[in-house]
Amino acid sequence: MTTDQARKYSRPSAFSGISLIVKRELLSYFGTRSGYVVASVTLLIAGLSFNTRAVGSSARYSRDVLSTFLYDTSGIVMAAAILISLRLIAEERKTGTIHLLMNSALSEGQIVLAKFLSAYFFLVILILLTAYMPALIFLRGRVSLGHIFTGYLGLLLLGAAVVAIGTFASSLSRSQVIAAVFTTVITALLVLMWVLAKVVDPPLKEVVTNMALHNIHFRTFQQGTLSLRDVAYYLSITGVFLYMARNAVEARRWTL
Amino acid sequence: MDAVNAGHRKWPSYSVFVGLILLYAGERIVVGADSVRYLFSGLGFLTILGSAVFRVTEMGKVGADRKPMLTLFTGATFGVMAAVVLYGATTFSEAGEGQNVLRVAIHVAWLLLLAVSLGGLVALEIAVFPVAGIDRYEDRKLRRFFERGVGTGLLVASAVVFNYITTREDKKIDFSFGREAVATDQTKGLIKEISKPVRVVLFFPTDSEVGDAVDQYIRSLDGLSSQLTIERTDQALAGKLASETGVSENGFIAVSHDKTHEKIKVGTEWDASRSRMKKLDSDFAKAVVKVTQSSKVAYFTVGHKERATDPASDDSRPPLRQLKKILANNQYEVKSLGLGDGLGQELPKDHAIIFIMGPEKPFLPEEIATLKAGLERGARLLIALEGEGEGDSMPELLSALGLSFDKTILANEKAHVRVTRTPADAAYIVSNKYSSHKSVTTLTRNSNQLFTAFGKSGSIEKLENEPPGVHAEVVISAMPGTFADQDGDYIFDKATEAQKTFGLAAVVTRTATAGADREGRAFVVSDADVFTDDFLRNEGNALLLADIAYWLADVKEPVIPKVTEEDVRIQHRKEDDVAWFYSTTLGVPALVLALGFFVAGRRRKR
Repeated sequence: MTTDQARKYSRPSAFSGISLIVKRELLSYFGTRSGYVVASVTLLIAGLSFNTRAVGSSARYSRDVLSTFLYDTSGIVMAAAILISLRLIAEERKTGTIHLLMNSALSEGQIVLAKFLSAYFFLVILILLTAYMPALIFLRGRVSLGHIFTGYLGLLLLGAAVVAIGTFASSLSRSQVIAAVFTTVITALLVLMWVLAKVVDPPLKEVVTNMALHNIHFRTFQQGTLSLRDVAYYLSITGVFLYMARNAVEARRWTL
Repeated sequence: MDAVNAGHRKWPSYSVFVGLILLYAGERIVVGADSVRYLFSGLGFLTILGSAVFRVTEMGKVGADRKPMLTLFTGATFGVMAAVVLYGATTFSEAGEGQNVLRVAIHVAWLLLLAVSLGGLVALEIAVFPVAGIDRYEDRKLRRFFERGVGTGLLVASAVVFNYITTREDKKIDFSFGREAVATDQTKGLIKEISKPVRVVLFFPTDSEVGDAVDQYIRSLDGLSSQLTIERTDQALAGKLASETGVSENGFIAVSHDKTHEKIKVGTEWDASRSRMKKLDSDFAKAVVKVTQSSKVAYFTVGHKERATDPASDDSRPPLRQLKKILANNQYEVKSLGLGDGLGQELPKDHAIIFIMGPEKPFLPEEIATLKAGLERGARLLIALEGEGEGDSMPELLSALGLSFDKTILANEKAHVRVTRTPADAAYIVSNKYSSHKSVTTLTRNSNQLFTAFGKSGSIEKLENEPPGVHAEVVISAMPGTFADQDGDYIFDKATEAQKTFGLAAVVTRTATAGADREGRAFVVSDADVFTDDFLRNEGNALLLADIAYWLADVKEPVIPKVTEEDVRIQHRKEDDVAWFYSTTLGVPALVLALGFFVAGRRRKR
């Protein structure tokens, strides 16, 4: 066997394995009409909310317009993240292709990471496609570029957290509907933590308050403030749920 | 394959959770009553202890094949108990100086131990659950589940600690506009001109971020005048000074001259202070003007059904309350001027500006004569005419000013404000076509951002032959596409209506006659709505008022300092709104969809 042939038939590196899955998944989004339909519906909803709520009919400060737009878009991002992530692993299990993945050279962690990245990249594209709306504010208002970038960083981090939750939920069930319900319930619980925080005492109060997915941590991004606390929070949520998704996939391997 | 016999009991694990709930209830929910607290906490601890003791006893009774599994369960249960004991150590011992590090370490340790042990326990129960009905377990599988559970617990606990640290040591960078106030040249000029001592006291705690931002703003004015002194103090530490200035809490700026004090509320938290910071420069300048300037008098003519600052209940026309408030904020005393007050004889000598706001009844000949004579002796008039309703065109006075007024309502199908979202909105025209005259200087400088709104306005035209000594000049013109709506349908009709440049506001100067110490000035605007409450919310209208008052009253200080902010309000114009709406809701989504069909179509062909 020549060196070239040996290279051809050798086990793929983790990176190439992950990128193969990501490419395949992205192609399934963008190679068919469904991905574009999802993108255009998302943009349509974002556009309607931008016109009716953010810009509104009364004169508003540019910063408030941007802030309302980011607030509304965060809701759209969470909903999109839930819808995008529900099929990730659940579909593989339903169609039986999970066996192919499990028997590949990739570890459970790499499979989960690849699935997460593919959904996340699609979400990132959706989020970035909305960027022309805050850019429109420049036509008649004045807004800081830093505010826009910070707001979008918040959307990207929030999206990553919800996609990670979705990846975990998708790894628990073979039904996409159940996966979507799981993701919605976990996301809703985390979003509503600020309500729970009102009825618990310290020090648990601080813990619960800091677990609130949106009200506490996204608001700062929405207002144009970059906070180390909030970046750390979203990265922690993403990391914890991806680790749990990996464990869930691994547990399935033992029960295969 | 390693295997153990089934017969797993779940209740000891459940007891651990029940014990933890009882402990939480004892320590956090019934914390007020000691006896009840000890009852709940004690029961909770005993429940966990009982569970651990049962696991140990169970281990002694089972064969060697089940021992590995029970060892994991026992280890996890003891881990929870150890965490509870460590937690107890933090509640019963009072930490002295220097023991804080140890206390924090114990807090972190019990949290980590609890998370790791619970993670392991939950993972073991999950592993056992699907095979509870059969009598054999895979020992290796149980161990891996346990490891993953411990790992998850460790990760969650580490994430909590990590987030706790980042919250405590949080670093923030604010990229939005509206946080930092910047002193404008207008305010700096005002400070340079003050001739009386002004003391500024900032009441903020030493560690207040908002206080630092306010400090930075005020310090940028330091040194501009020897009359200005600045100090910062905590309200709680300066009781006498606080009571002198009438400040009862932190978050205020007190501006004082002699025994006159003005307070500006800023607040101490960013969320509430942000909007106030945007107005700080304007508010500070106003406060300085208020404590240093002597009072001026603004007269409003009455007796001709004019727009009123405090309208009667049967007057449905938009009021001028906001105008009165702005004038009061700028040390203007507002008075009425009717026939009984001398309008038919001589204009009051102390007047700064005489306002004639949308009269609907004609002035008497002697009143017109008084106004004309006053103008020759240096009077300052602001005349707002009324196109709609019974508005009086004041032809005799206007001809003396070299102007004429046409009451036909102007309309513009594109350049208008959206108020009712009906075709009638075309009569709410806007314009940013300003001349370079001093009376509109701020608007001219910012004409790309600021426009003035008019509600059912008539039009002003300059007479070809001006009276001797009079010079008139149109300073605001209507936007292209504006037409005089002859048939009142708000739609441009080419056959009967014409689009041209209409005058919306004009200035008039009258050369001072013998014995007068200044020239007469008048500002004539084609619509009284321009200065009503709703319209003054538009920044362009508010700044028009400021510029006019500045020019008419001819004061060195700015009458209404410009609101300084980087941010601006986004006003609605029909053509922009339509473009925005269709591009965002239809244009871009349709483009993405079309791209999708194109890409999918090409792939299918291949």
